[in-house]
Amino acid sequence: MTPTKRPKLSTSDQTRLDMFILRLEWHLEGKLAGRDRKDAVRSLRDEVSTDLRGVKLALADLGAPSALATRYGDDAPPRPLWSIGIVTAASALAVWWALFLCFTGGMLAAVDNLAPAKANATFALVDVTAFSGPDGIGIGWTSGVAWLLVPTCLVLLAFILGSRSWRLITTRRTTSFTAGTTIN
Amino acid sequence: MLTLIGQRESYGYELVERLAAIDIEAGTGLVYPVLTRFEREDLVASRTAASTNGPPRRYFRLTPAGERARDEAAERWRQITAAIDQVTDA
Repeated sequence: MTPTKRPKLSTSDQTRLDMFILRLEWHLEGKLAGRDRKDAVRSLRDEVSTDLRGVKLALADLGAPSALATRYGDDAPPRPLWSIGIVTAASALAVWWALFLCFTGGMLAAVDNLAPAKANATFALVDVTAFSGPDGIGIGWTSGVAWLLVPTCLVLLAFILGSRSWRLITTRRTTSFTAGTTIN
Repeated sequence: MLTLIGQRESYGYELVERLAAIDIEAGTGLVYPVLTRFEREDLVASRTAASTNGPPRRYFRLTPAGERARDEAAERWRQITAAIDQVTDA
C-alpha cells in the first residue's frame, strides 16, 4: 500500500476524525488482528481526509463506528478485547479498594465513637483491626497471602470477562477448521 | 466492484459514485471495508496519485488475482442467473 500524503485538516475536523477513529479502533479490536487493524484505520484516514465533501459529511456517510467495524471484520471470528479487559480489571480493582476502604473507614468511625475501643473484623479473608484510645486512632490489616488472593482473583476474573479471553480459543479453533477445510 | 475497478482505476468515493450511477446505493461505509479486504487479499493494489480538483488520492487497480476473482464471480453470477431464468421460464 502506498501511503497517501494527507492534507492538513482544521483542528475541529482533525478532532472529529480522531474521535471517530478512536471509537472505530475500540470496536475493531474484536474484529481484526493488529496489522490488519492498522491497515484498515490508515486506509480509512486517507479516504476521509481526502474526501472533497469534508470530514463531517464523510464521517456521517460512514455510519456508526460499531457498524463500520462489523463490516471491516466481515465474517472473521470474534477476537478478544484486550484493552477492554484491562479497563474492566482496573475498574474491578478500584471498586474492591473502595469497598475495602469504606469497610475499614466504617470500623474506624465506630470504634472512635466508642473510644476507648478496639475492633477486629474480616473483610474478604483479610483480618482488619481498628482502634481508638487516648494515645490515638488507627487501622491495620494483615499482610498475608489472603491480602493478595481476593484482589488477584477479582482482577483475573474481571480481565477474562472484560476481554472475552475465551475468544482466543474459539478463534484458533475456527481458524484451524477453516484452514483445514480450505486445504481439503 | 471488482468489475468496476477492472474497467478503470478508481479511488474509494469514485467507486461509490460509479455504483450510484448504475443504481446501486452503496455508501462509503460499505465500499471502504470491501476495498480494504480486497487489498488484504491481494485482489487490488493501490497507488497515490495527484488529483486535479483536490488532495492526492489513493487509486485502486486489479491485480492478476483480482482479475481471476472477478472472472470467477462473473461466471458464478452467469450460472445463477441462468438457473433462475430456467426456473422462471418453465
